[in-house]
Amino acid sequence: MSAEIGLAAVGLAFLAALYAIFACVYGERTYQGRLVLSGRNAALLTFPLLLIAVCALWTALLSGDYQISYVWSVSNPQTPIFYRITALWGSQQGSLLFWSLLMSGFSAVAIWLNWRSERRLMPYATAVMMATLAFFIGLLLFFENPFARYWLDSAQQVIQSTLIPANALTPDAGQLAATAKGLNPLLRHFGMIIHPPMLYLGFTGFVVPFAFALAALASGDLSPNWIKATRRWTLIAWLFLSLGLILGGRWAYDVLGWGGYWGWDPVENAAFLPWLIGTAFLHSVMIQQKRGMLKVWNMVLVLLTFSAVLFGTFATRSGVIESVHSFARSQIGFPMLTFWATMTIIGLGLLVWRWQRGELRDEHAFAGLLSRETLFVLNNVIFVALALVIFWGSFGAPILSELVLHTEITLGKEYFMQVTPPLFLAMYLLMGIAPLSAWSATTIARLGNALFVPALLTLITVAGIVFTSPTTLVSLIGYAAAFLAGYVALWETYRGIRARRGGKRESWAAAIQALFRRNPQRYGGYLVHLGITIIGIGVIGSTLFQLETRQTLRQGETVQISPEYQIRFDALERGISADGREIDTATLTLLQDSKIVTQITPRIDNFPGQAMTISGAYSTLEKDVYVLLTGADATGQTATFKIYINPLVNLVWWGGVILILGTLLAAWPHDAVPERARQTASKIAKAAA
Amino acid sequence: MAQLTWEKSSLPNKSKTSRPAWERYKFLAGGGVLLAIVAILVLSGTLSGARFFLSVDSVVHNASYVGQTVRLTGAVLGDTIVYDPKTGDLAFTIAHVPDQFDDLATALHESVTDPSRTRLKIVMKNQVMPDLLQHEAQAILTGKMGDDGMFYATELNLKCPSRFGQGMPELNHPVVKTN
Repeated sequence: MSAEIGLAAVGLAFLAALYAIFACVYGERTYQGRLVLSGRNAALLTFPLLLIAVCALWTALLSGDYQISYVWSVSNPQTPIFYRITALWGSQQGSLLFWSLLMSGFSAVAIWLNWRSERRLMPYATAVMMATLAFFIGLLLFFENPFARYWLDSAQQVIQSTLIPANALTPDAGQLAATAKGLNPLLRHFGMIIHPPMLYLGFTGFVVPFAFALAALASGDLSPNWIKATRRWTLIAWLFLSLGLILGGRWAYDVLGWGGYWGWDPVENAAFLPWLIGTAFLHSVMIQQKRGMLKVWNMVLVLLTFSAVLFGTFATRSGVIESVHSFARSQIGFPMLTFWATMTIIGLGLLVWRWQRGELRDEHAFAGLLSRETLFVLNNVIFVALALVIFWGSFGAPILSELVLHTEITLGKEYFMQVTPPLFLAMYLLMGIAPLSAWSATTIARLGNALFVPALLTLITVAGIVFTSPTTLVSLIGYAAAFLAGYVALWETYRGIRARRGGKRESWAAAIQALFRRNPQRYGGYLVHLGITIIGIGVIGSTLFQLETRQTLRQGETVQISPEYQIRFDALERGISADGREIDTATLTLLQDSKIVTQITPRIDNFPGQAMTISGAYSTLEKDVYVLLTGADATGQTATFKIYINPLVNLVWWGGVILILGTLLAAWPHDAVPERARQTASKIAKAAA
Repeated sequence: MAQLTWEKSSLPNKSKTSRPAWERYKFLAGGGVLLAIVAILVLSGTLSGARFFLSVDSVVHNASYVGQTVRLTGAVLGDTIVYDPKTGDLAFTIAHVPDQFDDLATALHESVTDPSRTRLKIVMKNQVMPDLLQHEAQAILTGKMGDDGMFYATELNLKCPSRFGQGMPELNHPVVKTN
């Protein structure tokens, strides 16, 4: 019954989305308000319908309805309830359904909140959101249906079909349950449970700014309304995308057992591209808000951000990109590529049309090379250059070489490690300098004055690093750029607090609270910069100074693993868990100057047909001692370990937390008009009356 | 009645957007320099990081690839996997997978079961046994072809289609119910 309910709900959601497109566009063009309103209601209806479909699939997963092929492929009778729930996004079909639900959710909230305030834009924005949603629901219905079931045909062969085939029989439920696959063990990790929903929220959230930009181009309402309506949406989508990328890195670090968190894999890179372009948009949109400049550029960025989202989805889901992260090859590749190309061409086509009509002219010219707007543009160029070089390395070079040379040439990690660091360095330098320059024009002397304290602090910190830690010239340059960006963020925040304390005689706590409440966009942004700084320091430390060693130890044996630490192998326990996996757990004691620091317990979980190596780690802010059990003899008396010492790696995760907090602050709703100004306006209005 | 507005007018002010020609050239020159730097970075990175992505057939049958760093893909033969946890030495054999196929799982299965497919021994040093290294997994390797006919890999990525794809249940004695 779950399959029938789910299928009907998905079908109705598809029809509702198609109707919404027609009613909104035709109604708006022919001035039929009621028709437009019915289109809006149809768009809103897609969310409850898709929610019903998701609930139907959850019911099937929880009740173990293994006749549904999706349930059979991602769960089995031993799967715990928690993983049955998360199995919704454990494979292609379910995750596409979940993706569609999130997109319809974002669309519904955006329509609900903006319908009255952005009346001119909303019919077109609704149509764009529904067109995108209809496409994804279409993929679900016609290519990757999560409600397809197994049947037995007349020859007793198992076949898969969404609708009941003629003369088909139902396979035996007991045998289906006995052969069900269960969720991939690699996906049974906290990071992997939350990582996909966060990434999907980030990806689908970008549909809102894209739809508003397209609506502005289609309707001709090119005032800053679309920017005003979408800035917070962009920040929310960016927040989730950031969280998704960080959690994905954490999952790789904990589960994949190579002591790293970013492998420059094409699918990882595909998720990073919209983040880079979206970050450029979040910066340049400030220039349009403050100075009425970069109107065309902002449109280009918002269109490219969603274009990158669609391309990333194609790269992950089509299976045509050779990656460990991609889904199996499926038929959705061509439709997805077509949709991506169509949306990108429509967007850029409309933009060129409006631009040629002179409707996107800037209100100010660039004033000087050191003005804030120029430095922001430079920062934008760096972000876009990063996106382009990563795109070239991941997709451009392999595709072009195949077309021109008829042989595929791929660019490995070496390419990315050579090309991206100078651009990241430029990004950090601009993060440090740009916030200190003034709008319109800044002199070198003024910028130098503003930079003096942060630069001095940077110099002192770098000198401290030279005397206390192992360094290289490259790492020192990287640290200096990152620290400069961080100190500028802290210094500017401190100056804001000091000004409030001096002017208003507020306490520290009150001044900080007032500062973030009055200008969350600016000070939330500084907190984000601080987070990025901390991530940068963590990346430099863990990439350039990682130590690794392999040790085979007898029980009770101790070895020196670094100048600082020794490790002792205490015991190896073998057991069987409730869900049937055999678990080998080693217990090691970490010692520093012969004093016990902690115990570390790496293990190997042997699932039927697949082993999973789970690291044990001693984590401090300064470093991780990360241990993998790579094998043991039959008696458990001797075992081999791979040990990594990863300096500063935890800063990557803590920097991520600060980045998220900063983004939340920046996106927090606040009064656009200050209280005092509102009171003055009210007095003037009363006096005039 | 006075009206307070915090938004700038959407109408462009033509007088403010004009700028002297030399100023425009200054920005263009800056942009050009930046573009040149990025182009040089990409070019040098491409030249040093480029690897042919090849099949087992191409690597084994073309002597010009010996000693060159290349990437290749093949299907893992499970019973050939040998791993020494003490040294981290890992060896296994992969079979040729054709460039064109409809379904990856089927293509990998055919590769490992067809004895006529070209096979290649892979050797790796200082490895942790990868969790996904198993029979019929797709291996993507980076390394060099040796004179001895073995491939010395430095990087290994694995994809197991039975885990990421859906597949079909194999029911031995289907006891059936009619609808």
